Amino acid sequence: MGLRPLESKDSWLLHKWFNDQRVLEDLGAQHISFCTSMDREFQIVDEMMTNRSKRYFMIQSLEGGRDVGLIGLDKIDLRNASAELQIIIGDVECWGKGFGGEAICVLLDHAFSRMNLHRVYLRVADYNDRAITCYKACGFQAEGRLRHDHFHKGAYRDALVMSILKEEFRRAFDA
Amino acid sequence: MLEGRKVRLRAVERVDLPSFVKWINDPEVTQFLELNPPMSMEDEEKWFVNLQKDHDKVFSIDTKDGKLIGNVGLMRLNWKDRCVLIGIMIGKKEYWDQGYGTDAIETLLRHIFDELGLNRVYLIADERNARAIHCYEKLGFKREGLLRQNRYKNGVYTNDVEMSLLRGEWEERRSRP
Repeated sequence: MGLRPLESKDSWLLHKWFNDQRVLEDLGAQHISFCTSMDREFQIVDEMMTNRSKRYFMIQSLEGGRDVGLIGLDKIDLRNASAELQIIIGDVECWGKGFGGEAICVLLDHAFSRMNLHRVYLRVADYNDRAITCYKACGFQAEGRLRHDHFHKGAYRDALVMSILKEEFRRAFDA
Repeated sequence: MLEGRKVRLRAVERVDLPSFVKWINDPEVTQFLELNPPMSMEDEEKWFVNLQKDHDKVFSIDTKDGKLIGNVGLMRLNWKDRCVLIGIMIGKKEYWDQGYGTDAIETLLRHIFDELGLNRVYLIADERNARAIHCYEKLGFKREGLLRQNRYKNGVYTNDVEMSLLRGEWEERRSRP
């Protein structure tokens, strides 16, 4: 798979993914309604492309060029060389095939080797075991628990913060 | 997308607007609703643009085979007091009295209580709108007050009923077999 820069025409696909409850289920209730209109999706994509503290890519399968997900760095803080990783595999048929892990490695290489960041962190719902396993395999360490971070399925749920530092990535990458 | 048994709720799209205008201008549809026809397509487009900025959140109601039959909305969402006002319109009359509205509201209630974590859902119905009031009662809403001569419509003042459903009542209903 490879990463390519986000384009406004991707709004159609993102609209589909961000209205799919299976995709949103484990994201930790960041959406108020699980529903986004096409007009709103175009605004969001425009913001993702123009805001300089964001850098988003589409994850593309190299076999057939199918778009399978979205990955990016958000809240990019150049002063402190840190950013937050965001990822979804929107194409549910492509779950469990290793696209996420591979995309994260490519993005981390970009973050550390090209953008010269020092730290990449992420937030994950603590019941999203599949994602946590993947992040750990990519070298992320859990560094904190956000207790009762969000409300989902009738109760307050915890989230974890995980991070990886440049030297940790280098060590793993070289090995 | 919020999945119910008979319907699914999704974001309102620009292409839905002509149907909404048609329904709003149908006196039979809005007989008991708090809408003020006639409305033009342009009025409706302004409403749609404002929807993106508003605190109000409106969903289009689709049947499972993708037919648009109405809309349902959250208004006056109050995070501090954890309450919200809801309203619904089933515009396609051939879908009346078959449980589509009930399912749409039930789906919305699940979202309100289980995902948004609110405590009180309330609504206002025209006292004469027996069909709607029956549906709300079926869902567990309780009449809590009469708003005397709350609305002026077609030359007369009419009473409204205010109804509400609390989190505890919702949970109790759900735990019943």
